[in-house]
Amino acid sequence: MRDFLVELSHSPTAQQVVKSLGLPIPLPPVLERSFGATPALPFVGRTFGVCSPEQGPLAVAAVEALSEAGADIVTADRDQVAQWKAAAQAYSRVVSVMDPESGQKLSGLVFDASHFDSILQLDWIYRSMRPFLRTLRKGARIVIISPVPSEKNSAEMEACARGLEGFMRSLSKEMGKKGIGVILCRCPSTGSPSLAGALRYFLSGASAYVTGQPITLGTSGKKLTAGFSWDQPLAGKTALVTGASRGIGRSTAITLAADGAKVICLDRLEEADSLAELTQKINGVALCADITAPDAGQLIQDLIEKESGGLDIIVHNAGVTRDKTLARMSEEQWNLTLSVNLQAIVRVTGQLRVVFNDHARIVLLSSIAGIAGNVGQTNYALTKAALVGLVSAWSNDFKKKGITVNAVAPGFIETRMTAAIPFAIREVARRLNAFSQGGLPGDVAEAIKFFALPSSTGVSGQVLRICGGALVGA
Amino acid sequence: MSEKTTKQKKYSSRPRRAVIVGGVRSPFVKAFGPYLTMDTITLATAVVKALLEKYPLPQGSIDSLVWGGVILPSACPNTAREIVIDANLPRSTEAFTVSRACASGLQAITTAAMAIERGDADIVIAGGSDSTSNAEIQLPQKLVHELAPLAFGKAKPSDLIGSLARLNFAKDVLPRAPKIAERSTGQTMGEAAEDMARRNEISREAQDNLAFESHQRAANAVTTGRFDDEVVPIQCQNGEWVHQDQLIRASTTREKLSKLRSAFAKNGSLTAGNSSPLTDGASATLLMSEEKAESLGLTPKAAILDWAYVGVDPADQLLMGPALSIPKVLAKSGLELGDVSLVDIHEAFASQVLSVVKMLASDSFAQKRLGRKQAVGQIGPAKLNVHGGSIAIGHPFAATGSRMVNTMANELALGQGEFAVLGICAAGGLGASALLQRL
Repeated sequence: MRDFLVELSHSPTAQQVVKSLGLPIPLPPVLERSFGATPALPFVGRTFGVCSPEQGPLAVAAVEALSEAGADIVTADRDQVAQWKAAAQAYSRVVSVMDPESGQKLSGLVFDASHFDSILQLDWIYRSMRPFLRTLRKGARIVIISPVPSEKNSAEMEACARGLEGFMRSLSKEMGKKGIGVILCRCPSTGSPSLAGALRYFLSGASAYVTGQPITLGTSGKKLTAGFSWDQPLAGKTALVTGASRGIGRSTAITLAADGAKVICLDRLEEADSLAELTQKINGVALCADITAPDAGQLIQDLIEKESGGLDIIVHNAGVTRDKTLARMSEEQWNLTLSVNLQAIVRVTGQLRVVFNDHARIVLLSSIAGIAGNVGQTNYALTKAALVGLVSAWSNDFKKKGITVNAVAPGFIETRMTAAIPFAIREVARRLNAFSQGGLPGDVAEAIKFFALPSSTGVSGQVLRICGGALVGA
Repeated sequence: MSEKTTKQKKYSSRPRRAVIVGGVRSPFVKAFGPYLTMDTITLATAVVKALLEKYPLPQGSIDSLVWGGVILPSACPNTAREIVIDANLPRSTEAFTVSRACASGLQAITTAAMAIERGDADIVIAGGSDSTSNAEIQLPQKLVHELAPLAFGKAKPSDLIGSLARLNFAKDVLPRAPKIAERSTGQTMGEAAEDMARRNEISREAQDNLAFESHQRAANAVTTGRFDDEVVPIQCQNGEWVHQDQLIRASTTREKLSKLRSAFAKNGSLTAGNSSPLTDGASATLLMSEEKAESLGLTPKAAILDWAYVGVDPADQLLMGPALSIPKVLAKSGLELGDVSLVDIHEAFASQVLSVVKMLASDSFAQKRLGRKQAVGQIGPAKLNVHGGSIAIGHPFAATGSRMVNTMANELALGQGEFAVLGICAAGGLGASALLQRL
């Protein structure tokens, strides 16, 4: 689906014309996306700011993670250069003091507030983080690390955790015009094995359309071993993507395969042709089946046992919309939506329990419609919101085997489904976010891949919105 | 306990060993200098003939000739075979060419050693040569694509006019100068080395100092006659003889080096003085199985214990390879850096050598990149590049590996220690190392 304004904003000439004539055309910012195979060194040639007031406990870990990914580091504090040097030097990266005069532009900023337990410390945001903002280039990324909200926190720590979330949401709306995304990573001050992977994702173009969102990184999960490679991180893994023949499903299958996974692509018999074309392209396995059939799980299980013996990643992407106001909705419309979007997921996941490998990944596709509600989508919103419940319950159920369960909740994504929306409604839906543009299937696929990667160990029970910071929704 | 097991010397159990009988090289001269009209095959042939003059072998006893080349002639990329023919070796001597960028020379030698170890050969000549003076200038691909249908088909005059109209004279027709740039990243070698200087905080002064030392040590080796055993005179096509390396500057000083302008970046720290020059030259090494050398009554200079090749992401630090390959080859033989008396690191750029030395001395590098607790070790000036390196002597790409092996084998034979380790960085983010042992 073409978006005229986004295309216009990619042309420097058009930008010049709009600016010099003072035309009232709001040009959306150009987002710097990077899709496809995860690069082992995504940040080579880029510089990131790390801001760590009062000796943030995660700063050194962040510096090390960024250096390992190829980034150079700047800080505002001269003393920190010496403290962080060893972490960066192992990867021959440079830590230097920020010089606002130099005109150097930063690709991102990490602000460590994971240890904030007094509301007075919140002043550091103004004093320490604000000076960095003007040095960020267009399309940069900001990650704020905050304490994890918990009943066990002191009152002031809890206030800090919640306060930072509100701050992050507002900042994301302010920075959206420049294509800058802002993310809140809730991380215990003792560290998390998934911090490095989260920084790689949330500071890169893979998460270009994700902004204004919190995510919690757990302390549990298998630590990445010395043998783990950031190159082809899904090599040897078997993945199943339902509804894989087009849109987000197709994009997800391609993205997982690019990182080395063997992808089983499932769709209905009617989609056999496009499914065959896809599996040939990614060297995957096609499976034509009706996911709502009672024996679907058995069919998948037989195939997995034949192919690899175990399943590492399942992406429940298949979904339908049958929109009508509740009063006018036919029973068939209601039943089909519930059957595909919810019942099949519960049944198939139950049937596949026996084939899940340890540390497997379950990713569900929720929707902003499920979180915010939409006219004519009572059936759809019901199912998509129900998935949020499944995520939190299953994340506990599956914890023992190290299996994580998460959901992504796409906002307005440019797919065949949204292309069918009438023009006026579509234009409004598309612009009502911090970036004034829709997302791409690849944006969602990258988020799914983030949850699927071994580096996201212990990240579970999360619902991540891929919505460009949409105004609607909680 | 596990420390002990890795310390077990694997090489002792190997049934056959490859030994270095000797080696010779041409004097190295700057590109577009005295060897202008001598291509890589001509240079190599001269060196191979000189090697066989020095070590006369029974007729037909050479099993194979393995030759390294980086800038290969497109008309006969298997230069090795042409060398056999031009040097008038028996036509039954099989020959093949290997190419691994600047590690090609060492690749030829380790390939030869591999064949000897597994009993495929007893006597092998290995080496490498390159003539930057004879690099082929290619026509732009677009011109070739436009003209090929005209040349091979039945072209009408209108087709010719159409083709000409589609070509941009400046961009598509004029041949472009070859550039030593990475295909994947577009970064040139100099830019990569400049980046390494910045990342590893290698000062201009330190680089110039290494360059100065390189010239001093090489000049000293020439004046004391240390290189006489390994450098042979070459007759140019105009009849004149070149007897000595021509790039070594005994008279250079730190002050002179410090005044040179930066070569690869504005306000950069790399100069023509602390980088290796474009060079023409060839080098050859004679390898045999230990038994064969003995039966021919030859005294080998050193044995090839082991070798290791590594790769890093070219986007990371293009020329850091030896920082990984040196620890790898040491570990394979159960040795530590402290056991080694001689370290020879190819000097593509002073910044790259110093970066590698710094990485090897870093605990955090060892922990994060090598999975070992402590740094590999310090390399003092007393054992690093004892007779200078590529900055002073020159770097005909594929000849360098053989030059380093020859110099180190001679050094061991002269009693300067028991082990020598070599480290070579190469385009594409490759690293190469070999370990030699005195016999």
